[in-house]
Amino acid sequence: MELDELKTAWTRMESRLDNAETLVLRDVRERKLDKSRSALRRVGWGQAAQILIWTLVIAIVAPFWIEHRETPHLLGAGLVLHAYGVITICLSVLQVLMIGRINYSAPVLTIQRQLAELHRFRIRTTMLLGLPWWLLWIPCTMVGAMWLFGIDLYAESPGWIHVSLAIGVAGMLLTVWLARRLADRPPSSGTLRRLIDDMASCSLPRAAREMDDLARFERE
Amino acid sequence: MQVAEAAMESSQARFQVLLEQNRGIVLKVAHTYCRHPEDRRDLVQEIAAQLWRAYPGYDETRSFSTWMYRIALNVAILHLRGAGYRDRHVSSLDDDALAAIPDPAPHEPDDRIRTLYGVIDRLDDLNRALMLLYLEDRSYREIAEVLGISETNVATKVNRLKQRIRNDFSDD
Repeated sequence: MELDELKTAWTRMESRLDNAETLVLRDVRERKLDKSRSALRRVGWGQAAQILIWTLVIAIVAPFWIEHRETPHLLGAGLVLHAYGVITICLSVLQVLMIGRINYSAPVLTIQRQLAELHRFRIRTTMLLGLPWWLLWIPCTMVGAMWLFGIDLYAESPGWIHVSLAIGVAGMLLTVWLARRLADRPPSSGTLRRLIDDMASCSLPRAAREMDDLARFERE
Repeated sequence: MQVAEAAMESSQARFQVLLEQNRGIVLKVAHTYCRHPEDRRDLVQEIAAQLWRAYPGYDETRSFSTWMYRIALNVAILHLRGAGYRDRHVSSLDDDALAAIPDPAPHEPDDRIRTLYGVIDRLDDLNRALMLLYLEDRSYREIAEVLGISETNVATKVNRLKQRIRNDFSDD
């Protein structure tokens, strides 16, 4: 079999193209295409929502730690949340910018390289922002309890905070260990599988391979 | 306000005509990257949406088909790599999906199309794009412009592709 012989089949396939798909194209006006949401646009909206939420959190947390600057544990809890919020906003802005510069009418290799970079960045971001939540809920609870009910949890029960911190560290290590184990036997849910991959850093070599494949295609 | 609306209407009408004239590009790209009819319709819609969004930036002095191939292929490759998709439909030739394509000449054998899909399914995303453009009889120059590689590189890759197909079939 030769590649050129396949051209006959290609021409024949052309005459069998699905009518339903042709109808999709004919109804372009009715379908309000500019309002349709691609996966990438959804990611962009998700990041925008994240920026908004964390801006609100910072607007609450900044006056909180300024007000409690004399109390080290409350100052610390507020500062941790503030720092996490700033990092989250910065990383989300970067992702929105990366998505924004993707222009689909550029050559295939250029766009695929940009998408591979975005993919790698998203994996690192998920790891960086996801894992700390094993510990981050503690300053969240401390700030929330003080802000909403005027209760200083650390002053009331310092032992609870210490135990929670220890559990958090153990939980973080357990998550990485479990994710690495599950990565060998992936669950059927795509979202869960991607999350596990990201937590276990298994997606990173895959993203690196994507970049290598693109470089090889360009070089050879 | 009315002038802006009229301009929008006219632009949409022009786009509709160009899309209709070149719909084969969208459908063939969708067939190259999707086996499952439902996914294929989603992909066709997504390509059309992306074409419409990008249309205001289209430079009319340049080839419409090159512009369209770039967008359609970029969207298709992204779609192929999208959430959960790979595991559901990309693995191999799907007989049910092939049977679902209406055949205007039902008595002719499907072997050639089956072989064609078999060859396509063995290729990675970028080589699929190369093969599609080659089967579409596009010049090496246009293939290079669409993919973003040199013409020499296109020639080398096409030769490799031919050799690979020859070897695959001599092995079978």
